[in-house]
Amino acid sequence: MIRVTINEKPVFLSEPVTILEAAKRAGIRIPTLCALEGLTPWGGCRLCLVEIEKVPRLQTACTTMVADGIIIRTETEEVIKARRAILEFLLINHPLECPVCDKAGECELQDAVLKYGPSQGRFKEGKRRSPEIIKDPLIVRNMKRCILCTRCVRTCRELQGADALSVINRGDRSVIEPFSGERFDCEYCGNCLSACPVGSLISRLHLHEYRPWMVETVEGICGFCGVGCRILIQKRENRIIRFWSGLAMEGYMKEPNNGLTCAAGRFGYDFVDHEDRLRSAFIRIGDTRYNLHHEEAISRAASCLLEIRKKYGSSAIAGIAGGRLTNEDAYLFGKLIRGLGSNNLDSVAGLGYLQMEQFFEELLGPGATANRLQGIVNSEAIIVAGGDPHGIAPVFGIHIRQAYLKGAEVLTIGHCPGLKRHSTWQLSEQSLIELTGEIRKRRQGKVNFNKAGKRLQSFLSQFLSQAFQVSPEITSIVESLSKKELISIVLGNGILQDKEGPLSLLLYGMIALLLDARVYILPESPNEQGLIDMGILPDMLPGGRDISIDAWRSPVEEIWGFPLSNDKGHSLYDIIELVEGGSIKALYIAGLDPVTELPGGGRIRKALDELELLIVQDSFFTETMSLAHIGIPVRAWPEREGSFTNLERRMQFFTSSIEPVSAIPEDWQVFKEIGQLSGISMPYNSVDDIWKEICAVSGLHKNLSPTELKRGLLWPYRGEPLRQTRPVIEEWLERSKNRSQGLQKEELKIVIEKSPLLSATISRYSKAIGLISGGPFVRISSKTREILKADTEEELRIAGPFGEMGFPVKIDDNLPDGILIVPFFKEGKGILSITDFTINPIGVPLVELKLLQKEG
Amino acid sequence: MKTKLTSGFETSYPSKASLVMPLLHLLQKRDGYISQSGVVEISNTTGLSPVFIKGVYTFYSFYNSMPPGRYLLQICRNVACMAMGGDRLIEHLIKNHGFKEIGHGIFSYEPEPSAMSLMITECIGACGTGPAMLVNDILIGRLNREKIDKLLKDLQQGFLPQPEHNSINLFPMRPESYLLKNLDRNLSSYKASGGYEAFKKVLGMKPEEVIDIIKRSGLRGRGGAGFPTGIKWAFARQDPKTPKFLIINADEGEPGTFKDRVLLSRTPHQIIEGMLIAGYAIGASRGYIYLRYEYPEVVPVLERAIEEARQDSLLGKNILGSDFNFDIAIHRGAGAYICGEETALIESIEGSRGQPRIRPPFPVNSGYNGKPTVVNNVETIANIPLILVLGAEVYSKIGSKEAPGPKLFSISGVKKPGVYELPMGITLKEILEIAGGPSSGQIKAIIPGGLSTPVLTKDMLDCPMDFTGPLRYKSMLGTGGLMVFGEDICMVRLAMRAMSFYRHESCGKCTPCREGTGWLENILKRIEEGRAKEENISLLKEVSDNISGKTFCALGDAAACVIGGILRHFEEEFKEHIRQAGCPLKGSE
Repeated sequence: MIRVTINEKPVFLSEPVTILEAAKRAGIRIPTLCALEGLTPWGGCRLCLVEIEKVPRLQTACTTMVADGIIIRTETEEVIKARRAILEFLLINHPLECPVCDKAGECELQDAVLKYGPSQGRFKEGKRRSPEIIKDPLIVRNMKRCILCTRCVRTCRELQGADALSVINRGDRSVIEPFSGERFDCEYCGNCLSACPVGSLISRLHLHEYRPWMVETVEGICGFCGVGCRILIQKRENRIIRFWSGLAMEGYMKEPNNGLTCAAGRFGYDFVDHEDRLRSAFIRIGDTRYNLHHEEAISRAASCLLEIRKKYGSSAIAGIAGGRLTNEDAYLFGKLIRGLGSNNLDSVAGLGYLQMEQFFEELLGPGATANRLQGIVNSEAIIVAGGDPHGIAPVFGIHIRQAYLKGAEVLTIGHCPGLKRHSTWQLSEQSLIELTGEIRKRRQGKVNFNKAGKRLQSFLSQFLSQAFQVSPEITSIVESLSKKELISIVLGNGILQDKEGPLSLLLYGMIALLLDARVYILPESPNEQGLIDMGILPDMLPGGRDISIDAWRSPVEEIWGFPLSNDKGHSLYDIIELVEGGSIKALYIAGLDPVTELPGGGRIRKALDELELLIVQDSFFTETMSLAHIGIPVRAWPEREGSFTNLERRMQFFTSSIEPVSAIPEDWQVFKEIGQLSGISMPYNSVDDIWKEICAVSGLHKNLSPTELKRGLLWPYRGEPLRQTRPVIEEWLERSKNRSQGLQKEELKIVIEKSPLLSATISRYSKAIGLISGGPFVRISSKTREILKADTEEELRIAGPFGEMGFPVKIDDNLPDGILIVPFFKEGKGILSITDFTINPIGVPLVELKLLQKEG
Repeated sequence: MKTKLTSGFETSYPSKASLVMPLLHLLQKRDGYISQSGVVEISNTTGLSPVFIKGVYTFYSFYNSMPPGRYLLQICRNVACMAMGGDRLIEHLIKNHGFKEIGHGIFSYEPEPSAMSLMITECIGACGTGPAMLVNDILIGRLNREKIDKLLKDLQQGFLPQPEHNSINLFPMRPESYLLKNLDRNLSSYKASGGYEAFKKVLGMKPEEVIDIIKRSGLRGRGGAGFPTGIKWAFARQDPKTPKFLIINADEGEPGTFKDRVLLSRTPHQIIEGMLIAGYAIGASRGYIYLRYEYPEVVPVLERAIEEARQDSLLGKNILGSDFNFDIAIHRGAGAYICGEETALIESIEGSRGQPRIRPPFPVNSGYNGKPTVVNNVETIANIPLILVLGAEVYSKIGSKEAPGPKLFSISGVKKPGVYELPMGITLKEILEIAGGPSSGQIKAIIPGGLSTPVLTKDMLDCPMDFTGPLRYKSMLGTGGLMVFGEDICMVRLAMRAMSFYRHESCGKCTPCREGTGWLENILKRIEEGRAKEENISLLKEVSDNISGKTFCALGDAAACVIGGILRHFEEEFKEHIRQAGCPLKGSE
């Protein structure tokens, strides 16, 4: 126990901390400027100087550690004089232009000067002059206001790991600059904006449009990806002025993101006003769309669905949900489709997330993939595969970087540009067998396998027992990994979206077992876990209960008030095939644009055209929407309330922060109306009403009170923790038998990249994000260019069975040879919309793209 | 196709980031300046981001951000050269030869920009032969108008001048010299006069015994702070972390000081032997010489000496058949005074901007790459073989009791400027007798130990020059860079030049130093130019009080201290400036 005295008040500390921290715990405020929670102490601004008895000089509270028995005073005459002196020095060059500065009102320098500063300046010479630099589309840099606290630089370096800002020059000539000195050309996370205590880094999107005291702040959950960052949505007269983060704001540094945001979560809010927002419902007859009130569209949808059921039976109806639906929406969507008598119900979670979750739950136990993001930062080693976390879920990627900066070793397998400077080793997908074999060699006998593990081991022995050459690099990687205690494995859908996807998953399972690692799975949309929890699967009821088991079925039937169909439901791609085959006649798609977002989008478009009834419910007029017979507009996420369950399986509630663009409903309200018109009991007037029912139906959410729910909960949400999942491994092994050839290197591999600046789904509707996304290019190495004899002046054409797209070429020598990186979008058209799909043995869709080679 | 930026030094450092400065030097050599494409190349090699590297190269004065002309003239403006008429020469050069300012202290040659560039620099360690400049890294001293005019003419015709760095006068101690005994650079000659015998003796001793001898010798660091060397070594030795590092601080930036330049360029093996002994004692197998950029002629001398030592099994693996491994790399600075501060020096060698670190932890526990690191001054390390040869007891009897040993003084502004080896504790009066009084007229002021030590007056000549002696006159021994000023020096101008130096060299990390030094310079400028009022003198005092004791490192304190010293003895001259609305000495020129 350390005892110190601060301002005559005894403070007891169990571990050595800085004087600043000790004072904070004692409720004593010491003014600071360069200190920021989460950053390494800097000691530059000198505002936090305090007096320590028997120490001749004043000491900075932010860098000095407490020692037992020291006596500290923070408000003596000498300290106050020093503070005044420091502020006077800062004001030498800081312009007194608060009336025209956006920061005024939330400026830390302004606050400090008001409280401790001199009343009058004595500096008579001219101030440092430097014009405001408006060369970047999003960030305005004003260096005359800069106090060189370097919080932005350290945030960019230590928290974001981007290292895109630095102090340039020395002494009083110092300025903060990105490399070009003009455009930032960085990751545009915007965390530097939150870090800046003065008005030196300001978002151009809201320049001079507000004063901080004019905005209203709503704490929200970002709906762009599966991390579910806590953000602050600030609005003025129902218009979002900015997305802000909890960085540098006391009390707002919370999990999962600890005050960090990504580009979309910082600058992407203008998507709500995009001209492609669907503002009115419509029906389409032939090629003509007729706008009508959504109430009218809803009643048409209901009557059409009932008609189809009457004509073809319940199993001619199917429903597909996207990961943008909230838990409440998803629950009602499931109840609606099942209430119509169909089990043809599925969601995007089945594109890989679900399979991985089922697999690891069986292998490692229920809840095995429910791990807190904080665990990533504390890992000693991290294996990343199947996609770039920084592209799929940016703030997740940042946590991996932070772990790396703290000393963790990071192994990336496959293309992973976001961790280029934050990985110890990079391997290609083909090395996976070698890697697993080597890990097995080293760890075998040290791990006890369960039944599933043993089965897996015997299946894999055909691959792992082969005599193969192990490269010295892999030997050293494995040697290093086997010394670590806390290992995390991060997997994206990419590992499955391959012919050998099932084999890869089994191998990663083996690695997880052998290394006793925690597993994280990356969903591609905000609420995939919620879709699973709410039973948007053909064979699962809310709470993860198997629909074929009577003990689970009957209580649900009782509460819902209708019998569940006995038919076996079909999964997403089966549904598409059944549409093609003509047995499914009506499809209800909610919160998803399959033509653009799903593998095989081209084929899906063709199939959807065959439908007798296509109902599409979304916030935007998407490609899929253009095929709809009935289109229903719904609110965008900042306009709505409800909850998402993120990739940690953390359930987080949010309230609407702005009114919708026009009088349009929430998704759940649409499902409720259609349900009621179809004779399904839907007694809800609010999400709270829905939750009352969910808590009765779902074993996972049993007996949760509204306050508990609103506070946010981690899996198993304090419900009944055991989930009944059907064993899948045996079935997959059976299905994969004799089909796997081992992992082979392809001559030319086309990889579709989701860029963090242009993540696939919603943020493409943000014009701000469009300004920084840098254009659609195919990226190849110089060597690949030579092999392809590609001309950098000409476009490379990528073709699928449903069309082709051309992209200009960009040389990127950081890429391995033989790989083509293709963007997800070009001018609103998704590359997937030219593809067909095939389904691998575990139900994951695969696409094939070809490069059109020039003849001759 | 440009040549790739690599050479053999990749294995010299424990981390890739340390390659940044060496690669930047190579880049500058290849492209003439720090090109953006070169930065991207370095980024790919080191894994550091391009803007991080930009932050590094813009921190140092000698990395050119723009391509300079064929000939780059770097002329010193610091106080020693200034007092010898350097400032008037700079004026002459700019005005009469057509240079035009294009950046902070950077000028292009108007008649033919691609031919020449001019850079006004701080002290280049040639105070003994000032006013001085570097022309494409060649040192030329004792400048006057005629010499400059001829130089410009020669350069226009493509003739580079002859280097003059060997023209610094050396005055070994009499009757017996210790540090300047053997001025032959060759290994054979060094060995013939007993060189490396001390190291051989050490190889048969326990490291703790070596440290004990150094402790008993009473040796205190010669870099300025005077910390007992043996204790520093013991701290690093005791820290359980490995590997340990030895860094020799050859960033001799303190204006008025040029003794280490002489030691390095004339007695390289004495330094190598000292490093070997230090490395052995603390348990390091790697030693670095952080050499300031301004001493280019030292590089080939050291390189040759290191190579000779390697050939003779004095460096490398299993030295002289023992199990001791040790090697030395030269790490060149790039023009930043602050890198003489040991934690800034470590940041710099690690490949970052040379800004001081928070202490504790101290370098002896967490220095280079977070490992125990001893940073010793060149002169300190030169004393090591001597102590082992003489024995602690004999050594401790040289010079004054509290800080024994020979001391090198860099003396300028006198009739016989140069590097003097004298016993610690010798008085200023005695020194001036040996060095021959001020170069012109009567003594007005003496800066005893480099610019950062407060000025003394002619009434203080009884001051003994050791670590405690100058304290009685509120000054310090510092580096022993003694600058003597005659009656024609204007103290306001001297203070202004000093402040402009601190402003230029302030790393910018902490507020009071970054903002305060410039403010002080501005006030002084106002006084010198006759635009000041009486209250400006008290403002000067208050601002320097507000810097003093509140800065991150000692640089800001030094600036405040210099002002304090000058005002203490010469306030009347400041008032005279205000009364006469200008410099009273100006008319006498």
